[in-house]
Parts: sequence; C-alpha cells; structure tokens
Amino acid sequence: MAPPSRANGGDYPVVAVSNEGVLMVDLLHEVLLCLPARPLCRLHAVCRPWRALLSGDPVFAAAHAARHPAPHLAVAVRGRLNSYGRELVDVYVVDASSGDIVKRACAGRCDRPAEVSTHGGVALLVDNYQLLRVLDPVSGAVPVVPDYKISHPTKY
Amino acid sequence: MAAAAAEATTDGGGKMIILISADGKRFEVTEAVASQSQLISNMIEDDCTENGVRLPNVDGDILTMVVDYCNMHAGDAAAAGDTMKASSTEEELKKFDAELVQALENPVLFKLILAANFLNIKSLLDMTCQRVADMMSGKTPEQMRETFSIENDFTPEEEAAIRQENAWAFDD
Repeated sequence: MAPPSRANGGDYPVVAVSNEGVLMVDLLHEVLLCLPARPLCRLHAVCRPWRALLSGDPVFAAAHAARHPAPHLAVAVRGRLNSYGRELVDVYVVDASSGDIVKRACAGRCDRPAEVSTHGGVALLVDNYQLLRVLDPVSGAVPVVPDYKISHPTKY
Repeated sequence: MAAAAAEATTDGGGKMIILISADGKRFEVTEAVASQSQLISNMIEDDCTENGVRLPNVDGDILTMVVDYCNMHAGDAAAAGDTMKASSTEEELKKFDAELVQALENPVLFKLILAANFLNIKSLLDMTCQRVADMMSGKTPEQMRETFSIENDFTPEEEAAIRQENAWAFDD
C-alpha cells in the first residue's frame, strides 16, 4: 500500500504541522504522552501516522503506562451478540481512583470468562477453556498476544 | 551542576554568561539562570561559555521567553539564594507560567517546545507539552486535523471502522 502523500512533503514523518511551526515526531510523542487514555483514543482517527503510533508502538505504550500509573480494574461484561448471534465479551478497564472507564475492548468470543485481572498495565482475561487473552489498555485495547493456552496445551 | 549553580549565586561572584540567538540578539544572564538549561550547564562545567553561547536554532523572540522563564525560575534551582528571584512564591511562579503559555499561538508554542528541548530545560518542556496536550484533549479528530494542518489519509471506510473500534472514547 503506497503511503499517501503528505501535505508538507517532508522526508521524515512530520505529524503535526501548524503553519510554519513544526513539531518533530519526538516532541509530538512528548505531547501525546501528557494525554489520558480517552482523548488519546479519539486521536486514533486523525491520520495513519498517529494511528500507527497510538495503537502499534510498544515503546509509546510503555511510556504512557509509566506516565499514567493510575490503578486500573478490568471488568468483563458479557451479553453483546455478534452478527452470528454468538455472545461477545467486552472488557472495560476502569480507573480505580476516579471510576472513569479508561478503555473498552472487545475480547471477541470468549465463552464464560472465568477470571479477569489487571497486571502490569495489561488486562488479563482467562476463560473456562483456559485461554488467556492479554489486552493492552494503553494502545487501543487490542489483544496484544494471540490466544494462548495456559494450562492445557492439547485441549481445543 | 548543583555546584555550578551554587557558585554562581554567591554574592558578587556570580559569573555572567552571554546567550546569542539565531538572529544575533545577546542576552546576559547569570550562571544560575543559564544552568537551568542542562545543555548550558554542561557547557559551563566544560568551561566553554567564555565567548558567549551561540544558539543557532533559537530565535531572539523565543529566547526572550526562555530567558524570562529561567530568570523567574532561578529561585527553584538555587533555593538558598537571597536574590529577588528566589523569593518568588510558588503561586507567582504558577501565574507567570500560565501567562507565558496561555496567549501563545501554536507556531510560537511549538518553537518554544523545540527551544526547551534543544536547551534541555525539562520543566519548560513539560509545561509547554502539557499546554499543547490540554489544547488537544477536547478536540475531535476533524478539529485536530484543522488545528495541526494534518491531511486525513484514511478512506471513509477505514475512518468509520476506527471510530467504531474506539467508540467508547467518542461517547459523551
């Protein structure tokens, strides 16, 4: 996929341009690190370079987690159905101090979640089939590790 | 660096340093004021500030703000100093900081961020980055693109999908 042409025509991925003032990528990172998760999530929809940074950059995600260390609580909610009528599980990450929902992620079809916990900045979800899903609450709440069996490697 | 700051604030013994902006404006400041810049603090330690410090990527108008900031905050760096600057209360400093960045338009604010980054003045960098972040926090993606002249390079379908994925962040 060819990268779209940029308005500024620069050689490097300048991501914020305001008239003649240009903010370099490093400094844009600094600015974005100041934002809490919710406004940050809205910025996924600004442009491709921002989306790449916000949802795919582990260094950024780690730096953000270090900057915003509020204790988080993961809550799994069942009941939403997908288009095939199968029940989906949504995981909400809640800031334990304010009660605000800081992230919502769909864990996909996860029959009967048995355990949900937050640990080291990620939400862990274990279902009755011993499938472990790891959700990253900073980077757009995508499962960052593919489904992984924790105790019964032969069981499907 | 703590030693450098302490030396500079001893009465009468404070060495002066000349900072020279890209457009040739000269600013005379004490070592205590200048060494809030980690870059200049290192230069002071290395004894290479005698002929003035040229800052080829900082304009005079931006350097004026930086020097004002450093003058105001010199008390932070040398808490024991007995100058007028050191007596600035925390409230005065907060008010000064807020007024410094409040009125700035984006291009100037960005230049100030670049200067704070180049000079390595962490408190000024944090403050200016926070200011930009505050301006961003209430904005929609459309407003962000407008403010920062960013081209929307998503297809309408992609954008809809991303909004769907992050729908919780768009709910009011």
